[in-house]
Amino acid sequence: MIVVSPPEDPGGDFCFVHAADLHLDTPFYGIGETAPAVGEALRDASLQAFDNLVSLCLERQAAFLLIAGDVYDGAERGIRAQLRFRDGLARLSSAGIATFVVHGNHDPVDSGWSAVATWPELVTIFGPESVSAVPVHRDGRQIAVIQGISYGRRDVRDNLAVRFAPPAGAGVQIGLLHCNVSGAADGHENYSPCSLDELRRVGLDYWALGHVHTRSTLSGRPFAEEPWVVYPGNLQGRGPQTSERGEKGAVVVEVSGGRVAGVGFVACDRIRYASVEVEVASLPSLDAVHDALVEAAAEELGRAGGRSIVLRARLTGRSDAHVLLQGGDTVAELLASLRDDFRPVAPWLWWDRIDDDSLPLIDIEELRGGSDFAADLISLAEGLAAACATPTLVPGLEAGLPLGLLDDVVATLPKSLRARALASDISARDLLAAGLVAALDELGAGENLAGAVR
Amino acid sequence: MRLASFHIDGFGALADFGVDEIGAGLVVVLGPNEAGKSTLFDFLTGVLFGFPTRKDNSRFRSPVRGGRHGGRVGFVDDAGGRWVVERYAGAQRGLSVRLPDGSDGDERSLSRALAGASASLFEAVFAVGLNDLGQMKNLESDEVRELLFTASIFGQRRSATKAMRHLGEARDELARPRREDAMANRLAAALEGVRAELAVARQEAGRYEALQREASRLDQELETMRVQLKDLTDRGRELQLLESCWRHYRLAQAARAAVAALPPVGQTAGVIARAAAVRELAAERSGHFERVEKLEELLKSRAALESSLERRLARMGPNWTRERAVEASAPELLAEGARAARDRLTTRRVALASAEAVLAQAESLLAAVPSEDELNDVVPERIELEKRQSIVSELRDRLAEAERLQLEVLADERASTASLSAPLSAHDPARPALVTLLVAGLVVCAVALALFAGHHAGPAAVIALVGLLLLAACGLLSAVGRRGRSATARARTADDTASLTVAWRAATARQALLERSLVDVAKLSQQLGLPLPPSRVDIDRCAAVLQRQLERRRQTDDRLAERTRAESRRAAAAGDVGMAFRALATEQAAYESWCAAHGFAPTAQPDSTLEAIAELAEIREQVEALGRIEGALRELEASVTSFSLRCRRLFSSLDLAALGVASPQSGAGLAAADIEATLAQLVHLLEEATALEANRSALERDRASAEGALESALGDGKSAERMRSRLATGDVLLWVSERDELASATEELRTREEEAVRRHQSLAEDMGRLAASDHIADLERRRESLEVTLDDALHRYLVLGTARALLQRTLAQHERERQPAVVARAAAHFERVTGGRYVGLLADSGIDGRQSLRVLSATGEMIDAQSLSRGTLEQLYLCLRLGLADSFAERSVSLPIVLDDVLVNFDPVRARAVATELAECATTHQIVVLTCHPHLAEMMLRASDPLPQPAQLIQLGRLGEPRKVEQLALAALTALPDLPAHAGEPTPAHAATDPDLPTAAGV
Repeated sequence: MIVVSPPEDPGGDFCFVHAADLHLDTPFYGIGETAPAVGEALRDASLQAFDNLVSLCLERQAAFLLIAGDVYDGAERGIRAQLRFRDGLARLSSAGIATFVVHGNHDPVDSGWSAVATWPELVTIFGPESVSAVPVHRDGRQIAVIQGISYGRRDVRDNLAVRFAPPAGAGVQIGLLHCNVSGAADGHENYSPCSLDELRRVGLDYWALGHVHTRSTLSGRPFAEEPWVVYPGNLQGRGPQTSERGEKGAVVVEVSGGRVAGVGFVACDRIRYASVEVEVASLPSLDAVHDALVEAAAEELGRAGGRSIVLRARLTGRSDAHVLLQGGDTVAELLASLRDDFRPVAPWLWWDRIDDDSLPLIDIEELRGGSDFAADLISLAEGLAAACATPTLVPGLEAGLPLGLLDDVVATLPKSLRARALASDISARDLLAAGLVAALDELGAGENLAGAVR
Repeated sequence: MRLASFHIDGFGALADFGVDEIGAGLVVVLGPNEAGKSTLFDFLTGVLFGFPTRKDNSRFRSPVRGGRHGGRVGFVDDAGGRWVVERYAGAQRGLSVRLPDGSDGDERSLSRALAGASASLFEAVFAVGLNDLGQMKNLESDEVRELLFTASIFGQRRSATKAMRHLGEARDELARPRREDAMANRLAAALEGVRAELAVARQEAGRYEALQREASRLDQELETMRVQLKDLTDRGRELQLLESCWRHYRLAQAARAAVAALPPVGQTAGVIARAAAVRELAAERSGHFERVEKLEELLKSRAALESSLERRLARMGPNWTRERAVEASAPELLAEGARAARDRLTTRRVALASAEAVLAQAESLLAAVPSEDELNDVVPERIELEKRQSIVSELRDRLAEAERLQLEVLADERASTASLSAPLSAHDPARPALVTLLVAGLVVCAVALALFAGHHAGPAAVIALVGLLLLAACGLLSAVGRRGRSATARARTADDTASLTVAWRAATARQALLERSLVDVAKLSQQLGLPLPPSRVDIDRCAAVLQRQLERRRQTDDRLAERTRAESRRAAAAGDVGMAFRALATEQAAYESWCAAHGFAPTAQPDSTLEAIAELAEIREQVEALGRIEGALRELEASVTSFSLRCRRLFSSLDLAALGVASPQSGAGLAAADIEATLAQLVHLLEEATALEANRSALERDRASAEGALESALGDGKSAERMRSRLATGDVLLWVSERDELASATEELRTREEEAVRRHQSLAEDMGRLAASDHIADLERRRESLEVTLDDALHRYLVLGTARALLQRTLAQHERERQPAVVARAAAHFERVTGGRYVGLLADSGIDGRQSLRVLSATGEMIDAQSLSRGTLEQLYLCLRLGLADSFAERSVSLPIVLDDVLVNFDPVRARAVATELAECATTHQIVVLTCHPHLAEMMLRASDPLPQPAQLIQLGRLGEPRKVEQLALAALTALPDLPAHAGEPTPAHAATDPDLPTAAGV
């Protein structure tokens, strides 16, 4: 039994905070070279987001905090992360706020090691053997019962949800679980798979879930539909993927009259990932492209709510600018030019990269209909693409490209890098398309056609 | 396109030379050797594609006959547009291109017009000299091959080979084996470094748990060691206490033994009991002997003093005794009184002499001043004189006032007279009399004033009175007259009455004033004794006299004051003399009285008295000295007596005999020598006894101190008893041994403890560092950054590699598929040229990429091209070029073909066949044939004669001769001159031989 002590609302109402996927002190992926200040900020962002979570609990005088797995990113838990986590929970415990933690696939209980000899008084770490239930009391009254189970190992393919018991005792009945509810985890490993119906059948009031980094409420409406099944998303975006972009944080769950009255999201992240797409069709010069990027970035920074952002830009469309962008290190220089404006004063904006997906003003159809070298080139590339065994995004160029062509492609690649290059997530078809554009660019086809169009 | 004109500004041996119009089709340029055909060949190529940049290039051809290095070439494109290209060597802007529409173009537009053909392509295919014709290598370059096979709609697009090369270079910059500066290689190396660093850091971080366990273990170990250390310390402290107490214990024991061993006190107890007396007497005994000697000296001194005193008293006089001398006032006071009396007497005498001198001086001064009576007879008193001066001043004022009034009265009269009618004035009988009286009065008054001023007061007063009477009479008459005139006036006119009345009243008032002023003047003149009326001269003189008198009065007053002062001084001096005399007498009496009172002779002078006082002082001193000697004698006698008595008492209190000390002789007194001997022996005995006692006491103190220290160190209780028991055993060696063992164990334990503490601190530091370290996070970030950058580079590498591979494959495919058309065309040309001897041509690419050519004879034999004769091989290559030119023209533009004497190695039959083939080809290409052989020129012209487009002949003169450019048609062939053969001119190599036989060169 856990006894919490934040001041009780006269009507017995209270709130708790639900967070998941903290991935403390882990690197961000997909970000290349950064300025030193940005590097430091990225390095510390997950820890600072956790600090924000602790502050949120204190500000809201939450009865307890639920953390639904993946506190750390891997078995090799950082000392700094563990001690920071312990210290944060100690702050909450000192304020009479309990914390309930389950471990997920990234930080299973049986792997890794602990730098924390003893946890603060009001901290409960659920074990992996079975679902445990812990009642929460305040002022002599039971206000909630929290059930939870941790991952003992990383690869948990069992349906842990079915192990949860029906409601027992007074107060809000909460399930704390790191799992993959069918249909919710796009791009996530299918650990502890379960369905929404299975969760419903248990009969709890609130399922505090983790694992899916995109915030979502799979079920629940204030005082109407139960149970609430909520993924709060991760606490701090970790990379440029779609699921990692946008605001990240935790949800504050209001309980009134023993029932969940509402769920509100509060951003805790310190650095936000964003991407902009700039259509270059109407941009005839590099200066125009530069200005358009700056303008788009300013809008994105304005939407970040005072947070610093890491921005990735994608240039699209057919334009004369494509020829200019393809010239030498033009994109790199454009990126460097944008980074020149970086000032390490929050909120700052760091240009992560610019993906030039623009196309030349080439009428492929016209070229394809010709009988010249370009037509042969296009025909060859398209023929190869059509023959690709794996036309989707499935990795593995070796399976996609003809052996001879693959040998030519990686002819001068050091053997030590060959496996890495071939393990690229680019598909053979996309690679052929990009190679075709590069070849046409190199032949000056776009330049010629641009001139013709003009 | 075709060449339309050219003009050479300066190029090699050609200067200012050109052709304005060159036709399409076949163009034959005929000229002898040194006519400049090769120069023209290089010029055309240079203008279209650029001149060589190196001057040592044989084709650079610096102008030797002047002109700017370069020139222009005009050509007509396939659409009929005329282009003009002007190019000069060396200049930065050496190229100018004028487009068909008249606008300016550039290198790009020229390149576009030339279908992207490069200089190498042009020279390989379209501009062929005899030396190039027999070589295949020019046709084997990638660029030529690729351009020939890939000519496309992109007239100016880049070379696919260049693109491949560029892509390859870009790819190599990203990654290449053994190229450390390649981006991916560099990133991969950096990534490996970071991973290794990360592994180390993770391994280091993984130690944290072990460090925690180790720290916990060390905590327990330290606690155990501290307990052990405390036990060892306690035991060591006990042993240390034993050792420290052992010293005290041993001291106490030793002190007890030493005391017990000391001898008994015995007979020396009496001496020790009287140690103070013995020491006191011993200490005083030397003083005793000194006092005895001093006593004898004082007795002698006393006798001498008494003798001297008696003599001095005798000199002072019979009245003087020792007692009186002592009782007399102190000599210092007496001497002071005597000196004071002497000084006062001297002062009084000096004062008397001074007063007498002052008195004599005052009398002398008084005698020099006149008497008061004499002085007072000289001038009136000063007050009188000042009074008179004021009267004179007032008189002057009154007289001035009288004169003013008089003038106003006269004015009134004149006014009155004027106001009356002239007849009335004429009828005033009193007027002359009035004037006369007035003048007389004034004159008399003036005289009176003059007399008054001349100190004739009496006559002046009388005369002044007369003058005043005359003036009064004048006034009276005037008044009567005026009243008469007034009455007449009133009678004459009533209008003047009022004014006359006013004037009359004013005149009357002024007249009254005048009269009063005259009376005052008269009074004042009278007081001054001036005549009446007084004149101003009298008044001034009177004032001057008064001023002089006043001066003299002042002088007299000063003399009088001086005399008064002299008299006062004399009286004062006389008084002073009297007073001084009286004071001297009083002082003398006082001195005499003082002498008598102090026993000195009153008649003696003060100096004698002072000498007597000095003697008195000596007497008093001697008396006092005698008294002191007497006192000292008494004290000495008492001391000597007392010391002897104390010695006697001491000696009698001791059993000197028992002590072994010689007893002094008894009698009335003790001899000093006996006392000395006895006391010395007693002192010796006392010292020995005292030392013994001191030793005993010291031992007792040591014992007590040691006992106290033991008590203090051990305390009480069982522990103390145990310690005392151990002390009693006295097994110090055991203690030391045990202590050494403990010290060794303690030291070892301390060392272990310090080591454990250091280890614990190190662990704590390591744990703290690991806890606070962001190293792993930083490395992770760096690793991620490097991986992303490396993946980007590899992705780029793959794209570039794919692009290059696609280009490579397309190029190969293109070459395979397009080549047959080129070869077929070349084979057709070759078949015609050889008259059907060879019917086919096959081009193969070797494994190494090199091409080989084989020909198919009419008999079906495949012959390697290299086996053909030189002439046939040259024909084959010429045909191949024609086929390439056809193919190029088919896919882009038709470029002109320039051939420089390529027919010289052909036999006449093959030469005609080639000429015919060229003429045929000239229908689609402009072909410019340069030759120095007229028969070849004729052959060309004849070959084209049947064709719709006849050949054009351009004839050049020999260099150095006047330039002659003629364009002739075939009809003019008969006019062609026979050009002389020139030394070195190429001769047909196998004109009369079997054309198919290989030449030596060909083999």
